[in-house]
Amino acid sequence: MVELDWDNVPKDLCPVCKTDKYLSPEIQFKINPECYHKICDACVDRIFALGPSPCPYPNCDKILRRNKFKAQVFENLIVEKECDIRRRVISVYNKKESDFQTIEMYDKYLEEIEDIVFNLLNKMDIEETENKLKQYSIDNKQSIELNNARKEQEYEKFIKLQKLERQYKSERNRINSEIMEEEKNLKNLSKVQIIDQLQNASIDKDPEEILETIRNNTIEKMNRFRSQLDKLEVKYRKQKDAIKRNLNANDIKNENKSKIPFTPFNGDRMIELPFKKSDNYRDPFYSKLEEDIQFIASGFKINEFYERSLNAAFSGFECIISNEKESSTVI
Amino acid sequence: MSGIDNYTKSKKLGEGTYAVVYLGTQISTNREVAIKEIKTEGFKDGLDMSAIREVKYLQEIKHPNVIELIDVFSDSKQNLNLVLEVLPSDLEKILRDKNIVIGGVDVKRWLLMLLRGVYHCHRNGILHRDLKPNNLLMDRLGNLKIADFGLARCLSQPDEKLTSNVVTRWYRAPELLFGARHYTGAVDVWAVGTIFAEMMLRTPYLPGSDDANQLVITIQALGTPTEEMWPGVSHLPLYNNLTIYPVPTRNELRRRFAAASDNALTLLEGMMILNPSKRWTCEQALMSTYFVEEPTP
Repeated sequence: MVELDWDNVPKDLCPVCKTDKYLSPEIQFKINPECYHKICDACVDRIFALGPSPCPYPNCDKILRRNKFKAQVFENLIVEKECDIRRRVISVYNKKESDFQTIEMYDKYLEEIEDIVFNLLNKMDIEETENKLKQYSIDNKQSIELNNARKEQEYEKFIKLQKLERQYKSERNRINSEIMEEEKNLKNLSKVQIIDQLQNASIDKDPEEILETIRNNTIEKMNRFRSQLDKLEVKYRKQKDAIKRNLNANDIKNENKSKIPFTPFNGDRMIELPFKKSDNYRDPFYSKLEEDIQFIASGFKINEFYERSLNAAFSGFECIISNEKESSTVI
Repeated sequence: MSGIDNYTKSKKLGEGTYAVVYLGTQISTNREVAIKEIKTEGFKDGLDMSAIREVKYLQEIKHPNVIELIDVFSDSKQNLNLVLEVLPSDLEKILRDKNIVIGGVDVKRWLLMLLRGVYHCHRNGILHRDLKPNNLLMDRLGNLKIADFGLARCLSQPDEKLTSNVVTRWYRAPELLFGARHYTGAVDVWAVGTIFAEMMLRTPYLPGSDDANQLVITIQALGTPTEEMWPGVSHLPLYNNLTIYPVPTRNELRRRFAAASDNALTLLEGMMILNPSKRWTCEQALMSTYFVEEPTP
């Protein structure tokens, strides 16, 4: 028996069980992103049924798990591998062009992504690159989540638009075919009618006139269908806009919100005190406290005390107790 | 109509060591209220101190972010009854309920309301001294209101000594842990800071198992205060030789609070400065850029 060349496995052959596509056309190949060695579906089930096992390829010591196996999309494994890496990097580096102030910054960002993909693909500075990726994902945790949510929203929007377009197209085709049908009918009918009318025509009726009325009839019917088509078009446009706007609703809300200026104190703050405060009051008793280490260490500030006292003295000035008594409830 | 005749008690909502809370109705306005009946039996020295404090300070303060004291009356059994607004939930319940998703906007909104309420107390010279998620009640619209003024007191003459045995342990400021007797509103700001951290982490930030352990956890998380950064700290009564832990760098904080923005961390650091004279005031905290950046509250 010819020894199998493990480095160059034939395209349609499973190197483990030697089944090939010619004899069993239902064979499916799977690969694991750990090492990208292809094995057929049946072998994957058999070898990894009892949990993680090493890759059956000689000289490959990678331990593989069954749930990581996936169907191969591209014939060329390098392309497959690059797609996987790219998908992983993009899921973290997920900013969009609109997130950058200048096009140069965006280009730089793209360049960074390419560098990482290239390094990972060609196994250059893997550790350093992995660390970079990890650091970026920690640093930008919030914006990454935000962008992912945005992407999902956009995808939803896309699906909705697609559905709408399909609906619109089928409706349009239906009307168009109706128009065609009607045209055909009219043609036949008008032929019959012309002959009919010309047969029964009296001398005072001009054949030209008869033909004219019939032609008008046809045109009128066609116009009715055309206007129906126009209406459909308008409706479709409207719905499409609505979907687009609907998903931008969040943005609009934000714009409205920012019109109300934010006030940290809810407008309830006395910026200008009703009295003039001096920095230095002579109080032989309390001034001593300023040097007391117990007071200093507790965070006590003599100025705060002076201010509070003055506040207490002044804040009663604009209160008229009898008025308040009348308006307030019993306390 | 006033006093006892104006209210009906219906359902019992809860019972604490010194009070029973009922759900009731104010007859004249048909408004739902919570009635807190203070137990007098068992206290031979008359009314419990905290009940007096609660009435004393709540009737002074009227603010959208402080619980409203609607009325006070005494019933047939000579029990003191406080009529308060009904607030169905509290922040602790919300933070512990893992089914509730809390976003960055929610945290910001709650912190803003909390700071506004505390700011109002402080400018009226009142220290709350027991700020914790359990005491921050929420109404049905999501407005946060500060409640439980049982430990509150007025800042009066500076030579008076205040007790340092206040504030629930996990929210206790370092100067209280060191036994300071002349503290200020900064103790409330510290508590707000720990609550802010707790809102982001959804688990208590500094959960000490006893008073000594609380101090160790606090300095492990925020560094050991030195005479240099906090003049006079070593003269405080309970200051002993401490293991020196470094003050955390911005990067370490960032790792601890992964979802927080830089402005949020600056605010948190400001409210949790060890030295109470350097710690931010409510006013400073409210002016933080954290409240202006996206997402706006």
